[in-house]
Amino acid sequence: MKYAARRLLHSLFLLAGVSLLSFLFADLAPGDFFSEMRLDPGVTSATVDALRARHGLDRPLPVRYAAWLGSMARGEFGYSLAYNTAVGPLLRQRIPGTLLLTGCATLLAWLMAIPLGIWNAARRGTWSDSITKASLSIFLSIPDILLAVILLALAVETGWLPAGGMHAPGSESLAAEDRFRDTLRHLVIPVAVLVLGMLPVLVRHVRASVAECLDSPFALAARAHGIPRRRLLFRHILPAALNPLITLFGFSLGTLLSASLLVEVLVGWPGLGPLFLEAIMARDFALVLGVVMSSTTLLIAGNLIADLLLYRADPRIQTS
Amino acid sequence: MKLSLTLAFLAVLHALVVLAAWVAPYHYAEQHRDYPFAPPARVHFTDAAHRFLLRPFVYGLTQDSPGGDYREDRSRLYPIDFFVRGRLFGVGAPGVLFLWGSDGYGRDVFSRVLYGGQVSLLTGLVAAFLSLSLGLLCGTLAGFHGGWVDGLLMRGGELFLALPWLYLLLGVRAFLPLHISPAQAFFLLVAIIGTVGWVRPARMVRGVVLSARERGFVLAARGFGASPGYLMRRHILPLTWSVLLTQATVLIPRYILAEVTLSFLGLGVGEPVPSWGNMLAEARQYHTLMAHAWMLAPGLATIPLLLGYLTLADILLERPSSADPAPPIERPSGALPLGSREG
Amino acid sequence: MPADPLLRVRDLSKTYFRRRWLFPALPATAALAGVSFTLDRARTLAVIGASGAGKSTLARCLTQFETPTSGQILFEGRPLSPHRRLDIQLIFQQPAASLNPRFTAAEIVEEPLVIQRRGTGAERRHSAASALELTGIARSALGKRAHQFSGGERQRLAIARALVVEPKLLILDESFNGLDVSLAAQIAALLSGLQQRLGIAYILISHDLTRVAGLAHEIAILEHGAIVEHGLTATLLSQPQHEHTRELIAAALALQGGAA
Repeated sequence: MKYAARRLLHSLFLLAGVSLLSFLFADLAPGDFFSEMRLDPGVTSATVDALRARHGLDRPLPVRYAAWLGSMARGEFGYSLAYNTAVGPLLRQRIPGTLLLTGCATLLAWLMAIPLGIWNAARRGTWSDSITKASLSIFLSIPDILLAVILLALAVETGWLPAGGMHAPGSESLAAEDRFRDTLRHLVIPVAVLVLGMLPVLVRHVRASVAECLDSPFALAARAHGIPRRRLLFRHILPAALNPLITLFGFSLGTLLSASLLVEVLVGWPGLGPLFLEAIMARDFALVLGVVMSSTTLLIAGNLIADLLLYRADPRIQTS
Repeated sequence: MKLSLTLAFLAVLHALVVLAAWVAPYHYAEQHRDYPFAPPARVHFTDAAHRFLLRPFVYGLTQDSPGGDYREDRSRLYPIDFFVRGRLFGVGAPGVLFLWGSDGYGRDVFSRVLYGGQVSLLTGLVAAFLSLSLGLLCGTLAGFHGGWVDGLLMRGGELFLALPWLYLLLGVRAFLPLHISPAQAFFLLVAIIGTVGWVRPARMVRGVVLSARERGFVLAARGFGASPGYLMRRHILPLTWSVLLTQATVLIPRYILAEVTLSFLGLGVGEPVPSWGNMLAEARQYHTLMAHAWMLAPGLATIPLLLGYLTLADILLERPSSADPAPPIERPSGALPLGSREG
Repeated sequence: MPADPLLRVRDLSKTYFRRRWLFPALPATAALAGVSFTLDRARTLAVIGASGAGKSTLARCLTQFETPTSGQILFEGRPLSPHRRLDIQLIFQQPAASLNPRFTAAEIVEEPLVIQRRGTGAERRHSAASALELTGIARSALGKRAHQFSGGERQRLAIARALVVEPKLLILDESFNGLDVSLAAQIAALLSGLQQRLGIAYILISHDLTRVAGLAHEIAILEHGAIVEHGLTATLLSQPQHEHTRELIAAALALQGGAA
């Protein structure tokens, strides 16, 4: 598939570009992991310099970049000074967490958005449509921070749901099924926050897409021919409304990952978010770069999938 | 009609924030160590003897034990005066008026929300202005000049869009000094948030410029010997205003949230300057929250503001482009390329 | 009587190349191939051809929106140059598109003078008012915005704007399309009057003979970028020599319902 190959190549170029620019930018940063150490009067300058030399921080830029690339190729992604281990394993530990969270949120959000959007589109102009629009707008205006904090507080207050994290302490000893349910219970709050953030935008777009199709001449003609509503919906309208929705999926990925970062931190979910924050606070640049590259890869991969899906759905579109 | 209401609503909110130094009863750093975590004041109009008093008032506060619940002390009555100590309203010492309660240091939350709004709102506004300016510049260059400039800018833009927005923001923040003064933090935040967001406005402006270039009246002006500068100034740029305006209503709330998020995470404006973000960070601890729900006030304050901008954006997006009934791309017979690129 | 015709076009050719990245340019379409004709002052030439015949390319070459691949264009005996761009003006096909809808009539008509930095504000306004008067638009309409005018009035605005720089040659590119019969007749009368008063030469480009036959002194038939027949209107219409000319006449007659 020539198109797929082209898009893949383009994605790889993009990744390379991001890696180069972020490495360069990191290099401009004043200070590094050992800056705090320098301030400590108990540590001499010579010690700090020796430490830096040992970790190769004093080598010229191209050498360090090449070393970093080599490290990436080996799957190590550089060395985390804060954790005293290679960055790669740390990332591999956390990426599944983010994927699980965002995956569940996406699934749930779309599962809810499509019926809601269709329902609204069918009733556009009525009071129920207006009420839904208004309440969705209000949800959109509630910051994630507020939502998460309130839900967490409620969870602890009522005891219905765990107050953050991914596993209850001691859950390793539980049977697989119990562990699964435990994880599920921990997923509720973060997924709820993410879904409530995504839903308004999704419903709006589904509603708009479906409404446009419903108003199109071909749909009206089909109705005039007596084609039953349900069949019209599933066989004709949904496929036509699919394209803009796939595009929307691509666009919303970046927002989703960003929201996930925040929610993971708020709720204590072990994903890329909390790791990122720790790395920033510790000025562990290798780890920061590692997380940046990971999130970029996730986003680019997601966009690639969306583009390919779009191409499958409608090859006409991809002429640029 | 809806537009005027929304604009008026937003104007009021902005005015309250801008005039914080006057509207707020207390300065943001003013502490009342005797009253940590005091609950929101209950304003009364009828006193113990059920007489209706024209001036609203509050009772004094006492704690049964340090750290315990507060009670109203009905023996002390403090009327709310207007134009007190150079501010719109307040109560005379030793009374305290905590409309939305106080925080751990006895600082009035209502006042701090107003002052904090200045930081968050201003960051949003200035950063949005920065993004739009950069976007206008780059979009015009790319759209008008075309060729390698266009290619470079668009490819560069792709790099910015390759990261999820918050990761990009935090990534840039990561490589800048961590411990900075609130003033430095403000400028830093504005610079980062504003610079990082140039791409979407640039693309939209580029689109407008590209289609405007081919408009009949632009070609006619060229036929009269118009310079590119004239064409941009007189014909093309005016077409970008509406795009920029709608982008502004979308970006401002987003950037306000960016400041709140960064400050909440400790990477933005810090003590003692309040920002809605760092105030929410205080509210985060569970025990604080349940016992002192009013600490969430800064979060609640964002809701009407964001809702206002959201509604405004919706209204603007639904309008057809005003006063431009001519069809978008109407070419004279056969397209007239701007500076023939073939042959 | 001046020896030089106003416009002399010699062997004009324009080929479009397709440029592919890194590959040498390949010729793709020959839009004009060896077009030659002359035009005198205060004369009207109609250039008729089907779509794709090269009419617009000719217009673009004459108004310096394109550079010819080969051949010569001499205006008043000298080759075209950007300095003398104002002497040849183009009236676009869609009047609505060629006027900025937000501009007032005054701004539109003054614009060429503003761009060329000619005259003071008052002088420009005066020139604009006279040009508008020539085209039959009332002074009172000076402040109206372009989108408030009707189609026919917009056509006049475009003509007025062109007139304000005192061109010697006006090229009207499919300007009669979309105008109803009475409107077309009005514009034709306007143009004819202007020609008599100001001595402007016209090139009328059209795919439809009937529209322009009344105004034109000469007709040139363009097919595939070359002139296949060129002669005085009456002669060409009554005794067409070329196959394509006969086709075009037949098509025009068919549209008219057979009136000869």
